[in-house]
Amino acid sequence: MTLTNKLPLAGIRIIDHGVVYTGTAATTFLADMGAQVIRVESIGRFPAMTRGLVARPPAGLSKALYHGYADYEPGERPWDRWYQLHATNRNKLAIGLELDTPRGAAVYKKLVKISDLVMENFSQGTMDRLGLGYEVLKEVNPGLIMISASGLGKEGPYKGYSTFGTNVDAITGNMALRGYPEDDMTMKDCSPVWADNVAAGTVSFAALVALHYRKKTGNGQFIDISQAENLLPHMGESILEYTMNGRLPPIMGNRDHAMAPHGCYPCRGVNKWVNISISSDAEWQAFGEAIGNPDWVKDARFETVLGRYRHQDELDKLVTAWTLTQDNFSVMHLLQSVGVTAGPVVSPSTVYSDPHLQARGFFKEVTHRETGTHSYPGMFFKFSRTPAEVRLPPPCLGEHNAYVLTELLGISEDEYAALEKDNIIGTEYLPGA
Amino acid sequence: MQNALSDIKVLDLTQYIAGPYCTKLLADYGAEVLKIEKPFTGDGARRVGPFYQDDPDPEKSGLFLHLNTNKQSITLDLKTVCGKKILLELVKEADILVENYAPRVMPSLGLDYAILAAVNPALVMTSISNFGQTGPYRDYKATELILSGMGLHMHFEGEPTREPLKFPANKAQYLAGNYAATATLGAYFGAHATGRGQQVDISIMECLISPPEAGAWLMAYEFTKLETNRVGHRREGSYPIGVYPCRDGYIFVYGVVSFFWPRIAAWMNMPELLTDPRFATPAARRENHGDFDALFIPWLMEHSREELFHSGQANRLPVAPVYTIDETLQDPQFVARGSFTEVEHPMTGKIVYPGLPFRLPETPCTPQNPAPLLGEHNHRVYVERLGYTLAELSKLREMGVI
Repeated sequence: MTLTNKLPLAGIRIIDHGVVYTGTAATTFLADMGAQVIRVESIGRFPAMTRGLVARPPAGLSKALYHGYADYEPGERPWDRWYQLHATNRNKLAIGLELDTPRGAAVYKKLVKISDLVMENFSQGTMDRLGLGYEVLKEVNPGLIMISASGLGKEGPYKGYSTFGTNVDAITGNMALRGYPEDDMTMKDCSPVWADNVAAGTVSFAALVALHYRKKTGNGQFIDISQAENLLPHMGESILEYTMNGRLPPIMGNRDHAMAPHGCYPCRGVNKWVNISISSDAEWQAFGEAIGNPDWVKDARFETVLGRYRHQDELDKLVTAWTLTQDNFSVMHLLQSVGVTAGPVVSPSTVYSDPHLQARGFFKEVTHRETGTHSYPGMFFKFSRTPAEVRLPPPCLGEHNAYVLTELLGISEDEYAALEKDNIIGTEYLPGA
Repeated sequence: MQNALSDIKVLDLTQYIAGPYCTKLLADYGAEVLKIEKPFTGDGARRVGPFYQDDPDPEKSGLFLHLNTNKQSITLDLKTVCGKKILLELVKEADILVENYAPRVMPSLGLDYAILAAVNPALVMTSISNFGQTGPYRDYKATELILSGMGLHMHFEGEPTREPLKFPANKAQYLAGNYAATATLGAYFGAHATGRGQQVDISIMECLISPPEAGAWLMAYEFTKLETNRVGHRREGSYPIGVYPCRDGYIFVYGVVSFFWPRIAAWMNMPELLTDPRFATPAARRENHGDFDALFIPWLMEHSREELFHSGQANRLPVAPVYTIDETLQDPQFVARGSFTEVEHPMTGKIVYPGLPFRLPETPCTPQNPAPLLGEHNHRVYVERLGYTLAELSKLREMGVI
């Protein structure tokens, strides 16, 4: 590899304590761009919703309860076969290390000494409890950047409070804006965990901002990221609607404040839907022609943008009567060919078979030691000169113990063997984890 | 103290939401962001509400004001020969150019990456579009609703018996802008080290199917081939889960994992729940949720939202108040941390905005200078920086170039 073709973040080393979604994904983005990311994982304490729900699911359960494991098989090493691990951890190394033993902590500090950044999103206070908070690690490596991501922040009156991404949605006011317009607050669907998706972007961006600052000044720093705080700018116009005009934004569901028709319409088949949004009279004309100019599109009530907006309920019924006879992808192609904005509601299976994503090479074939060859979702960016590839499959627990400890940290083979024997490093969860 | 990105120069050819949010992030952490707007009309977001005092003035759009803090604005018509020449002069001095036109626009203007890189080989050019710069959907149009559907998230939001739902406001485009900022800065690291830039192709659709949650949905399907569906407001897994009423509002209770159940019983001070066969397993609690609600909701109604939030957290339960935005603005945690900030703009006076997504203790980055007026920095850039005379400036204006 020539110098100019190496990946942009080559030479940067990151310690990843990511659990669940936010931290694991943020460090994956950095790994995709070339950083060396090392997951440091406890073998004595199992991270729920990261490598499974429990370390070893009981045998003999119904197949449905093994959903989440490749081929519904927990196998000998369930923690290496869990979907969440595979979704977000490509291009990383992993070591299994007990941090709450003095010898484990000593190994960890050696790694901190040669790393640029530590990212953790454990439940609050974990690193401090282990005696490995920023104040301690800074002594080991004065230029260290440490990012701690939590739901509500490490400081402030709610310090120590526990959250998931959905709590963040509730406290920021975003949840109140979700839902069908006519429903009351108890009907809010809190399934998609949007705040975690946002935080993954924020954490990865914050890492690069701090790394750039350090390049100029040599200074590291501790960054206390609150997921709630980083969701607020994504709600900017909703917040300003209140702060400028003293008015709460209305709950819009699938409707828009200017466009009509603007909705999600059922199509032929089971649970098949298409979204259509029409923003101008020209688009309305084109829509009418594309669907064969039935009488109702000539209805005077629907002639203008304002008329369509006022009579949306009737209009939606008429559009639905048409879409019900159609395939949702065909509606997209038909309407887009005449300049009308439309697209299907995709599901995991249709995303996998989508010709556009295939043509762009979005999915990557990856062979993994424990799960075989599968098609994995790829990167959200394409670099023209240094394309990102899957260089490493998601790491098995402790897969890179030998490389990291002996090659990177220079630990002797005898000491390595002793650490292994004393369960300070390992490749399996200890009984009771 | 200098701002973290103060040495980075960004040319901003973006409009509406995804592109401007990407460059806002760069600007708010200190990069010099020069926004190039179409003469007379400017960024289309200037015509989108909400508007200050409901006056649809292009300088009073809340959407535009929020998305363009800390930027400078110049007007320039890229369709004119003169306009292109001026852009190339600016490209020479820039580190990053971000644009979110439809993919055919920059090449049709004669401003594709090869041409810009010929002037400045270290340039990072980030192109954000709905579906990316290549592929069969390249030229398809999209709105936030279309992106929400084609980005997988709508499939999971809403009741299983009703139509899928989009997220409120413009979350898809914000997420793409946020992710694009990460990729842009990443590519800049490489360009800075080697002197060679590259083009960064960001598809909003791909930004939506790449986050951890969507990745998990996709991987679960790949591993098991099981088609999933929306689960609705009471979700799946253990119980209770979702939004419940209380004495003065609503509280969000997230009992998603079974080890929260003893904590729920402790929170309610009803240890007898733990020996009640109706609630013995997660499946039983789900099956008999009506019986549980008959105990739970009256208990909740005896307590205020604030009491429940703090007592729930004291029992190590991830509960949270369900706020509307007016309540969020007053929450003690956000107030103590300075999560909101006041920005003074000549057309609106002082208004409260969302603050930075994170703060750097080492640097003074703050929002913020207000969003620029259309062409506010023409004099500073054209005269003071590029050396045009005042007479030339008025000629350019007369010709509609600026």
